[in-house]
Amino acid sequence: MSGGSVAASAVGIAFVVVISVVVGVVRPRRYTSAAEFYVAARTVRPWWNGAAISAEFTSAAACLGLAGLIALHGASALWYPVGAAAGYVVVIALVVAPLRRSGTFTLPDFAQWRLGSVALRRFATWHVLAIGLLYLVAQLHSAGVVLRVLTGMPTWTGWVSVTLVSVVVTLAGGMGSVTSVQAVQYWLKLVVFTGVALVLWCAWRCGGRGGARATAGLEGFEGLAAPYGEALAGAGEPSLPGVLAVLLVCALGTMGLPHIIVRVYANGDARAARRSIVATQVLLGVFFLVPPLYGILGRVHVPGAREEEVVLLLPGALLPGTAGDVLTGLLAAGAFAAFLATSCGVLAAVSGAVSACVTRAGVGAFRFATAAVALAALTLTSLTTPATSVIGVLFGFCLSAATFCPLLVLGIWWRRLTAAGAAAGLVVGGGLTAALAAGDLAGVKLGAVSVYHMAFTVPLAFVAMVVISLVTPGRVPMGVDRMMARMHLPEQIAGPAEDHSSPGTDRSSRQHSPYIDDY
Amino acid sequence: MPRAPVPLASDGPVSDARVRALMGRQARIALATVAAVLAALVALPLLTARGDWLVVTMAVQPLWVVLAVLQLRRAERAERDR
Repeated sequence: MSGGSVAASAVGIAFVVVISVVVGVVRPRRYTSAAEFYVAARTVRPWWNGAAISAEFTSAAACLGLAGLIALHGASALWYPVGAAAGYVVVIALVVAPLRRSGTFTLPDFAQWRLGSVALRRFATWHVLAIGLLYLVAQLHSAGVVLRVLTGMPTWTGWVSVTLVSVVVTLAGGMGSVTSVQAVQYWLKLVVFTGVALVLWCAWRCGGRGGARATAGLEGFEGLAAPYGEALAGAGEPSLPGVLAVLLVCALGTMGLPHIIVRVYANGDARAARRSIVATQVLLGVFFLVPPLYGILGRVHVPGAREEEVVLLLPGALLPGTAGDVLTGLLAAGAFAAFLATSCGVLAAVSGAVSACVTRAGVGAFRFATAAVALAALTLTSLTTPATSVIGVLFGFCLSAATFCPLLVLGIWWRRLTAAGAAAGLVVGGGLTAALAAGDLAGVKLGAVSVYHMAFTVPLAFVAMVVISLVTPGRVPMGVDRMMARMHLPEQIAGPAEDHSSPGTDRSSRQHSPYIDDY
Repeated sequence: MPRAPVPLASDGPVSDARVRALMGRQARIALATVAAVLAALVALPLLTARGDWLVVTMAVQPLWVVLAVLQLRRAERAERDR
């Protein structure tokens, strides 16, 4: 990296860090209750919330990893952005409105409310923690690599800086400030990544940059399956079954990502929550048009670069000089916006779930949990070797699809689910996923079973939940009919009667929540 | 310690049969949407010639938006009709 691009990157990263801290710390008013602190007082508007969800979802894996994967593996990886966005159609169809109306605001909360078991809630919290840490470690590793490539600083500076800013933003104002920061970061990421992609694309196609390689156009793009070194969880497996497995696990896993689903509660009611997901779908649809452009550019102009570095090396390869330095600085800012948006969201969601489980929930416990989770993520990051961010994130999807997906779908739509059945499903889904991944890492290859393990773990988790629930019919919770009515009827009908006559309350406060009102 | 679940608000004016009917209708709408998503995810990579993948993968994003909007409208209509 030239001196100019180092300076530009440092300025870009500093800009994003300062903007995040300012928006996160200065903007929110003082919250008066724990409920406000947790769920942004339920006043977030659909498009604002949609931008926040999109920012959280387009992590390091979406911004840098996908483009690198496309550059490395060619056409088969083009399907990954398609699968990543498909999950929200499933979310709006099966989960959003009933979950919002249930009034429980984390996944473990939902498990306890729906199935009446404190033990199940604790068990679910462990899964939330596991998925959250996978996400955080992937972001931190990516941040370390990016900072080293761009400025030559050691990787730990990237880990520590992202962790520190995330903790500051999360501690300052809970979900409210995280939402503001993320919405700003979505637009920053969209403008930066789209703008730079268009400039680079023009430089390549119109300006004739890149010399003879410019003639090697899209024709040379398809095929050419590069050997893949790290292919945990089927990521980067270029065959058609590998692609299909990844697509399906993305579609089913999105609903169980703790930091995504907690966003549903930042909306006032089910109507606004559904619209948030539609807004997310639109915003993600726009954003996911960009990684293929970088992938193709990277395949032509920086062949052989490592996955995470492809996007960042492109400006220097295509436009040497000041223009390239400025574009590199912009991309550095966009990449850090991605790390911070996801890290803040995961940190807030996981800390909320953990603190509510371990102790009596409150702002103090939330802050303590935030620090503890951040410290755990830093420790894990320093103990593991950097894999590509796509692998870490995709493994989070696998775990979520095999555990929370069956829990949510059956919990919302099937009256006969019991706590024992749900626990059995979590054991089977989570246990098998972890065991197969551990075996894969340890070198135990089970052929198709370990490469496409999601094709086995997800159905088996569903089967375990259904079978064990049918075997334990006596443990169906008492009020299941009322819970179903609460989840599936519009708020105007199902809400508490006294709220209909209170003109002072707005829509957002009508819904009674057993877990929030008495903090 | 997590508190035990608080009992729900008093029974609304809606009968259990109506809840079941609405749930059934919503389940059919939701399953149709999910089936469309899964069908698209499986069929498109199978049917698309490898050279066309770039065009097809970019054209699918609007399809997801259309499916999400259709799901939203059908689900809300089912709730209004009751």
